[in-house]
Amino acid sequence: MKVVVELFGLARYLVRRKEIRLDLPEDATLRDVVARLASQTKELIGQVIDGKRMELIEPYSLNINGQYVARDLSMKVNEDDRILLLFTAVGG
Amino acid sequence: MFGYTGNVLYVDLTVGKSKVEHISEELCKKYLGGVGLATRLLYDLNPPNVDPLSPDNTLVFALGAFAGTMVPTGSKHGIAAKSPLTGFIGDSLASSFWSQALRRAGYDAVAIKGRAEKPTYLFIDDNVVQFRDAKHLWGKGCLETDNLIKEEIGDEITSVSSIGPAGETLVRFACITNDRTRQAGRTGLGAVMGSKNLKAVAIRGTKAVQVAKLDEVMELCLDLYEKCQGTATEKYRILGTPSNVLVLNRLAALPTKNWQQATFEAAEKVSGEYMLEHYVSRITACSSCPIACEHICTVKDGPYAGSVAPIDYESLYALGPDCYIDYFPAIIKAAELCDHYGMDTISTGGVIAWAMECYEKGLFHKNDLDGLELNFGNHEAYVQLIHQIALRKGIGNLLAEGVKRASEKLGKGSEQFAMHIKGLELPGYDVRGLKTTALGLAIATRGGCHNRSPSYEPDVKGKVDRFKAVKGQGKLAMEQEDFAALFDSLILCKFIRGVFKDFYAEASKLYTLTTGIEITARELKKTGERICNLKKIFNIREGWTRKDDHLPQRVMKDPIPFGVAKGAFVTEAEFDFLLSDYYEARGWDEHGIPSKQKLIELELGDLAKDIGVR
Repeated sequence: MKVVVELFGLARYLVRRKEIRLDLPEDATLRDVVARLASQTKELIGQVIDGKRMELIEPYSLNINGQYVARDLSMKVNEDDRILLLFTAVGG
Repeated sequence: MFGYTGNVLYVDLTVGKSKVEHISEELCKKYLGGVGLATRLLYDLNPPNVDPLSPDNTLVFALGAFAGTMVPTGSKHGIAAKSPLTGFIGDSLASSFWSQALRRAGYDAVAIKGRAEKPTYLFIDDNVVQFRDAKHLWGKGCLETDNLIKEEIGDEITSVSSIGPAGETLVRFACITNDRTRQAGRTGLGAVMGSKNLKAVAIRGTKAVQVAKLDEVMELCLDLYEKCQGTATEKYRILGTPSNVLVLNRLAALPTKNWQQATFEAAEKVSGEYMLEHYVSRITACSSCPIACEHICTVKDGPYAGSVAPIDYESLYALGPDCYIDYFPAIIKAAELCDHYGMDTISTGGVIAWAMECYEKGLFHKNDLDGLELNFGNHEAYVQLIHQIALRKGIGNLLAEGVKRASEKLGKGSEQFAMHIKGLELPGYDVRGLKTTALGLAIATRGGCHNRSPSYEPDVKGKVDRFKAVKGQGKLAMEQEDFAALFDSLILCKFIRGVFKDFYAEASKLYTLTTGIEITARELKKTGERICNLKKIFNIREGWTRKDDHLPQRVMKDPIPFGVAKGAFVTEAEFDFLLSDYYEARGWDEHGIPSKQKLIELELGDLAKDIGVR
């Protein structure tokens, strides 16, 4: 199953890419997305991803297709999902 | 007293006199400082229904408890007056050295009433207050005024708050600028200052600031300074708030083309990422701030070469996508002009975007606009228009009134796309697909504002389904508003909010150790609620009714045309529901009036009679 992770802000700045395509097993969850992301983009570890717990560091979160924010990483992903990696402290 | 000095400086410009009076610890604890204290002083000093541009409208500057101490981001001041833009409470914040200077001069607040006979500036030199001639400064921009006053006083340590030409011409969204680049931007307080013939307030403060428990305060502060270098603030430090552009664009929440769209085709060209790569020349901080969010941009070549301005998200949205401008150097030029003239960038962009739509709809013609072809995206015309607004020349005279008044005067259906709430032009969040945010902007006491009522947090963080209006969003909006009121009154910058694990516990401890005034986390939370209710009472006394908590017609009639929020808008039924849910959460009646019981609970019972509550 293929999904795309879109990068914004610091994550994009660190990785120097706008998006990353991931190939995942059929029953993959968001935890698999984070783990795969960490293995493919070491630059994110420590700043965006907690490399030991394989979780996002506060206040990063995952938004699915621009529609809703994932409550936890156990959520299953679907083919062609576009997952937005966001720093969710807005305002300015 | 510790932290506080216990002194308020009262200035009467009409008679050219000043006096100092003491304020009690009880008053400090009840309203903290900043916006809270400024609002309370204003409430007591202003007669009801005063003309905002008359001598009777008092302009109050108030410090938080932390100004002048080492508390990170604590050196800020709040300013309050009745707003000439909204007719309700006008309050705004600014940071940096001016607040430290005022505290070191020995004051917690300055309340200025009256009108000087001729252009004047105040020089507060510790205990001595001088009324100085400002005729030679009239017409000068904010930066030049700052330089000239410092030169005149002969001391670089002097800190200056001033207005530019827009304040002098009473542009209803003129701002007050301090320390050259910091603005109390919103609600037109610069026009209030201009109406008083007051060009500037310069301060030289040389006294020490005492805190109650020095070692403990230092320990807490060092911990906060360290945390401020962590992930919670890195967005602000590295890319700055303009990193919001691509996120909000992707969520179809980036107001574009006067809110006709919620996505901008050229978002990449006005993004924080693009800005950092091409235009950021340095990153600076306000005094006592370890975050350093201010990204100074410089144009190196092209028609706007040499332009320099700090760019944050709200300025960028209003002067960029909202006017359909994708040429970054023009945005820097526009922000530089706003800073020079002393005008709020959000309102300036908002009123120009409205004028552009009027032009494209044929409601303005080229000859109404001194030959300007004001199509969306025409940056040459929009730069020219900024000069005209500030100096009230040609069509600029109408636009200087703000979008509400301008649209009411023009009519012809232009009110339907006048993007304001209570007369205040809107910040950069398309609320059609952010329904808690829609409520938050509608109920904000100073008008459509993301800072006083930051209800986007539950929507963007996914605490709620952002496309739905359900029970509980009223409570969320209330909590965000109370939370913001504490930041604006303690004062702390909201960009530090992420470093607190338990804000109420940590902030109450910091306040107690700084001031020696015991306050619990529970009392602090209640204080936020008290301040929000006080601002509401101020508005009710000025004639507020439920219909003033409104949304622009476009938000309720025109669905978002494309993007992931395509089709979203706020229906009347949804909005009514949300508003009632909010009033209920607040303990107010269906008309939005606080109950006597609520006022007593908040120790505001003495004000009940002012708003007809029995």
